[in-house]
Parts: sequence; C-alpha cells; structure tokens
Amino acid sequence: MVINNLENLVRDYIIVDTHVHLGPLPNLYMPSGSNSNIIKLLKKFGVKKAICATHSSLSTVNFGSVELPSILEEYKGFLYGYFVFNPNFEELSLKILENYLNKNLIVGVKIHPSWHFCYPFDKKYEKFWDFVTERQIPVLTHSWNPDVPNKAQKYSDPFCFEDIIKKHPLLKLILAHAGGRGEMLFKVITLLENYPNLYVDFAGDIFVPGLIEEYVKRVGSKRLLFGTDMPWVDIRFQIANVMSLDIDENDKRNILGLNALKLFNLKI
Amino acid sequence: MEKNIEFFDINFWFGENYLSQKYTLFEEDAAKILQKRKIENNINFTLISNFLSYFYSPAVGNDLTSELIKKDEFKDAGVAGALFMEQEWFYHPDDFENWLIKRNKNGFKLLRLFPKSHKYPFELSLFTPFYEILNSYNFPVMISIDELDITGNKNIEWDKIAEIADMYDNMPIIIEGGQSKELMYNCFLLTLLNNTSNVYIETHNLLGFNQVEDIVDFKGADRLIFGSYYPFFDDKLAVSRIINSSLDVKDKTKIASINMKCIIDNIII
Repeated sequence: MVINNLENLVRDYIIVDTHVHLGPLPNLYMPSGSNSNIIKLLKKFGVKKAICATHSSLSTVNFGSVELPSILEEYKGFLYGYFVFNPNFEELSLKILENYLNKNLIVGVKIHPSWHFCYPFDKKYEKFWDFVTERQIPVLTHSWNPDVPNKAQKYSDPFCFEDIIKKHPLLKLILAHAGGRGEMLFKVITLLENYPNLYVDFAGDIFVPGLIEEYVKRVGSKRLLFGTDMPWVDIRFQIANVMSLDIDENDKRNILGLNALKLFNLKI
Repeated sequence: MEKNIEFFDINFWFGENYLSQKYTLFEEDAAKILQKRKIENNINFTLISNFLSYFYSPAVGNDLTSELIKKDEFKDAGVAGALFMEQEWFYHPDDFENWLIKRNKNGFKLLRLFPKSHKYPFELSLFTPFYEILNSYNFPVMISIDELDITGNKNIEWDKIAEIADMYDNMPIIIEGGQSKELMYNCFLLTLLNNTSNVYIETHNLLGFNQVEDIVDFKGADRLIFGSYYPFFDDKLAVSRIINSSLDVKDKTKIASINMKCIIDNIII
C-alpha cells in the first residue's frame, strides 16, 4: 500500500542516516541543495542523527579536512562525520586521520576505491587497514558490481574486500550500497553469512523488491544500516522503502537506527 | 484527500525478460498486478511496454500487446499500449502513416524509440518522414536516456532532442531515465526544458534531493509525467514520492495523470 503521510509515520522511530554527503560538486547541481536544506529535510522525515562524508573530503585532501570540522560544528549533536581516507596521499591522509581522532571529530572513516581509482587490496591501503582495525574505527566503503558500464566500479567490487576481512577479522566494515546493482546485491549476502563483522547499507538507488527481506531472512537485521545517500537520492524514497518492507517491526527499528547507534556508539 | 490522487503510469514493462526471471511478468501475472496497483496505489491507467518488443521483435511484440490490451482484464485495469518503432517501417516509410493509424486504433498511444539498441536513427535529418507524420497527429514519442548515450560514455545527445523538439513542436517528446542516473543533477536537463515547450520528463528516476520540486519550481508542473519503470523500480516508491512531495495537490495531480491524459487527448488521429 502506498505510504501517504511519511512524516507522521516515522515520528516514533529512531532513525540514523549513516550515509549522507554535504557540500557542492561540479557535476551535482541541485538548485535547492544547500547543506541547511538537506539537513532540514532529513529532520523533517524523522532522522535523529546523521553521519556524513563531505564531497570536498572525497575530492580533495587538505581542503576537505579543513571544511569538515566547521560543518560538524554547525550541526553539533545531529551531524557526525566520516573522515575520508585517500590512498593516493597515504601518509598525509593517515596523519590527518590521526589528528581527527585526537580531537574526537569523527565516528568513522569512509573510503571510495572507485573515486580514488585504487583497489582496496593495493599496497597504498595496507597501513590504513591495520590502523583502523587496531583502533576499532568503523569503515564505510563504496561497493558496487564491477560488471557495469562505469569501469571505475571495478575498484569497489565487494569481493575485493574478502582477503582484507580474512586478514583483519576484527575490522568493522560496511559495504555501502550492498554491491550496487544486479545479482551482486544478492551475492553480498554470502559475504555477510561468512564474516560476522561485515555490515551493509542500502544507500542510493537500491530499490530491488524483496532484497532487504532476503537479507533479513538470511543474516538477520542487526548488520543492516539505514543510509540515504542524500543528496544524491532523496530521503523520501528511502524512508518509504523501509517503511513498506514486509519484515518484523523490531527488524525495521534495528535497520532504521538501533544498529547504527550501537556500531557508532551514538547516544540519543 | 491526497490518497485519492489518480495515477497514470506510462512506463510499465511486462512479458519475458530473458535476462532475469525476477523481472519477467507473464500475461496472467501482469493482469493481476495491474489490478492490484489500481486498488492499492490508485494507478488507474497504464501504458504497457512488452519486453518481447525490446528483446525479440518490435513487430511481434506490438502484435502481442495489441491482442493483450483487447482482453477484459487488461481493459478493466485501464491499459493502453506503448508502440515500439518497427524496423520494417524504415524499409517502407511510405506505409508508416497507415501503420500508425492502425496501431493507434488498436490502443497504442505512445511511440517508444530505441535507436541505440535497435540500430536505427532518431536524428532530425534521418528520421524526418516519421517525425513529420507523428507531428501532424500530435502523437507522443518516448526515448530513454540510455538510448541517447550513443558512445556509451554518458555523452548524451541532448542537443539533438532540442533540435527535434524545436522543429516538431506539436509532437510531445518524453524523456525517461531508464537505468541511468543521467537525468539527475545536470544542467542539460534544465536547459532543455527551458529551450523547448514540448519536452517532458518521466519521473521514476528523478531521485535527487528535492529534484521533483526543483523542476516544478523552475518550469511548472506541466512538464513532468509519472512513470514507475516497473518491475525494475518499485511502483509504491514512485507513487509515494509524488504524494509526499511538498507540491500542492493541483501540481501533484498534473504530474500523476493529468499531463499524460492531455497529451493523449490531443492526439488527432
């Protein structure tokens, strides 16, 4: 049944959006897409906490690291940050990350192998994996089916992470977009079955009927996270998607926010 | 009140998708789903596109769709057909007009173009005889953005659409996003809307933050047309996005069904 009044429907839920982006990009023109409008819409549709990686952090190194704290400060208590590790500046990036950790500025690290054109098993990532595992920092990584026209997606094949997880069994890794497209979305379930510290989010345009139900059936709901990918995808699609799932109410609550509170150690 | 907004879905696929059983929708299942959508989501009218027309043969698919939409269970579900350009028509262009008239009588209300997949031109210079006829009947065409990406490098030929729209301004041209993200976040789309009067955008993958509202703010609600892209996309979400938009009811209704109904009412065959 179509959900008619999303705003009222989500009022009693704790919603944590674990996959938000802020700030401009040259190929992302949104006339009303200011940070304040994005945050306003998140709050309107029930989000209590959001974790963001700024676009500048993805596309720069120094510039992004300066911008992120000021954005987090502006929305303190609501907005939390991912530091973006850039393997093309391995030493510098790790140094900045360490500095961030000392100031308690972030709750996780994001990597985007396709954006940075670097496989996660590349040598440039080696120290990084040791670093985040040792400190138990959750890592959100872009993941996608390599068999798509965009060739850069090969760097983010979910199965590229398998050896890394084997080598670092305590690593808390979130496969964003759950593999992105086609049959990969279902193959990723086998990874979750095999590796207990692996999580997924369904951020972006991942609206395959029956997909989330299949995850819940096979691996339970405790490692499934709610992410919108705002502003790339409007939160109204994501909320309607989860609210209309044919799953137990507790599973819905886990996905919408309770799992994220626990994983990122956030308090409401 | 908004629960009663009536939807007209112009992008519903049925039939055999040989690449995926999950996306295959056989005739009897299609009838049931169309009825269910009518009851649950108020999708009272649907233009159906046959996978066979895309994967196998436009001519065979069109014939089968033509038979299907005569059946009571499909008539009850408010179904009309989406016509696929048949390669035969390029061999006998002089017969195109009669074919179009016949297909229209059989319940087809939109011509879908797949120039890249089916290897035929859509450019102004080469498709002129067909555009002339379509334009003379105000007959709408729909083209997927994937089909405009001739190089496969996301180099969408937006300018060609603008040229065609400018030359044949009685012919509504509906752009749909298919699987692509190229309808999102770009200035080509805004410029195209700003420089034409007969280009429309189908809504299913206007996924970006506030994108539906921003387009309405930019050019009004007249240029958006509801489509679900079922079964690749969940029709509940497509409907929900329009209902839960911040637009007024009048604009929501236009997008949901009125705009497409007007286009069909304007066909003068």
